[in-house]
Amino acid sequence: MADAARQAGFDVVAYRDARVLPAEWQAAVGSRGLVELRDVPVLDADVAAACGMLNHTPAAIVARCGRAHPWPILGVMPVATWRQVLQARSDALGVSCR
Amino acid sequence: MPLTRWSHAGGIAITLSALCCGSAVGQAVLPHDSACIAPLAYYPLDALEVGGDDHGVPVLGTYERISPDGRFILRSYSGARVGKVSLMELPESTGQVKIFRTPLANEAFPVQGTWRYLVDVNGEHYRLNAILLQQASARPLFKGGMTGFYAAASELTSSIDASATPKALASARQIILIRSLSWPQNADPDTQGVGPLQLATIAVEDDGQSARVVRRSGPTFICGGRTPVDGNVYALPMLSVDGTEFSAIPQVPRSGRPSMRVYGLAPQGDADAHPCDLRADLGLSPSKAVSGFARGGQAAWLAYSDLGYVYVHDRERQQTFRMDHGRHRVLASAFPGLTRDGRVIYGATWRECADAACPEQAGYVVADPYQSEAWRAYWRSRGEPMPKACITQAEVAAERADFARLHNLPR
Repeated sequence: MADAARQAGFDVVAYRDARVLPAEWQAAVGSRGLVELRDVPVLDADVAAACGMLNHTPAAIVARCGRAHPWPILGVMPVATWRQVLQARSDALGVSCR
Repeated sequence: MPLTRWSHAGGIAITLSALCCGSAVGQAVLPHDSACIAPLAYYPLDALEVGGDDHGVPVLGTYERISPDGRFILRSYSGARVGKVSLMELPESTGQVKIFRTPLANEAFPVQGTWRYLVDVNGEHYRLNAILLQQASARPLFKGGMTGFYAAASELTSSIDASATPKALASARQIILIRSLSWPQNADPDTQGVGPLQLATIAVEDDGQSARVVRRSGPTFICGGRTPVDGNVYALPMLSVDGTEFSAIPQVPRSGRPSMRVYGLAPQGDADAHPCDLRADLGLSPSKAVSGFARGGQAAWLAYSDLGYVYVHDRERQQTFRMDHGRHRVLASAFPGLTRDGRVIYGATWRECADAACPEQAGYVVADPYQSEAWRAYWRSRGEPMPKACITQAEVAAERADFARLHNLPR
């Protein structure tokens, strides 16, 4: 999903859910060869709660020009659908950064 | 090596460790089975059996699916110790959780309603009792239905169209209809607008020994007609236990904000079209909403978790009731379930004491919603007697007996 988002022109910043312990995280990303995810920061629990991201993992927030869309994208989904939702969130945030 | 050995002939289950015992909170001590069940019961897992994290906390797994009688929990992402997917058996009263390995992977799922089969994400169906007896060595009976992540299946209670039944099947052999739901599979991106989800139905002939698919329909796109209202992307889809509804959160609604909603499906197994009519809207975006069993002609309750608490939603009364906690720092998982008799069962972590140094535990919680403070407060506020004050031990025992009979399991 991260690759699909990048291919669609989004920058992807990943965070580890604090409820996933470091050893478990390392084992999971290591088993899939996801080197770039090894040392991602931990998502602050208060931020996660404020963004509505605690009820389901994974969840994604789309931000543009310093503004985050208030609706998290929940769960995993087919690539075409994922890109469609990303684009909808981005469009809703507007096209200008002024 | 299997963690639990089940001798079917002798009806004896032997576990390798007897270190942990379930404990009930506030259980009424009455001699007969018309007594209420405990309002809350906690069944901790043993890290020696399921594996532990760096702090020794038992590995809980990620997804839990609850059998209709509440006896079994299908647990995904179980950890290295017990395999990718395991079956947990809760004790009938007190005792330890028994663990069974399975040949399943990823988000394996049961055929809801009966649990007649457990389904791997590749569509292979296994008989429950075969997995209990043979564990990871169990072999699938047949393959069919929707596959992949977020797939869910339910046994339909409606009969199939007799005229569409092959003559060869006009026998006494049992025909079972299984409806399954998932994301569109192998769909061209250009067809995404056709519908956000797909349904498939298979008819299975089962003589109790062997089983085979005798008819398939679908996958069929559904709910494309709702696009002007709900958009065409739904998150966390879940089929109801009778297969006639599903819950999901539209991710790009045309108005309002994403919220968990329930939609209707045609009850007939061979239906080509589905109404997708909106039947409930929780107005919030919780975890996956899992349906219970409809009783007395009323809509099935829903169970879900939100920020660590578990709730049931009574659709007839349009009321939501929070389940109590009987331990400290209880954090519920995202997949509670409702048994046929109405118990709420979920995975959770908790602590036995308030002290910060108190070790964390992980396991399963069984809650009686009718004994919850929220349910009682609701009826007190109305000045009316509660229509149901508790789930009885007799009700639980009856469900357990029915389920054991259906699956040829020892009681």
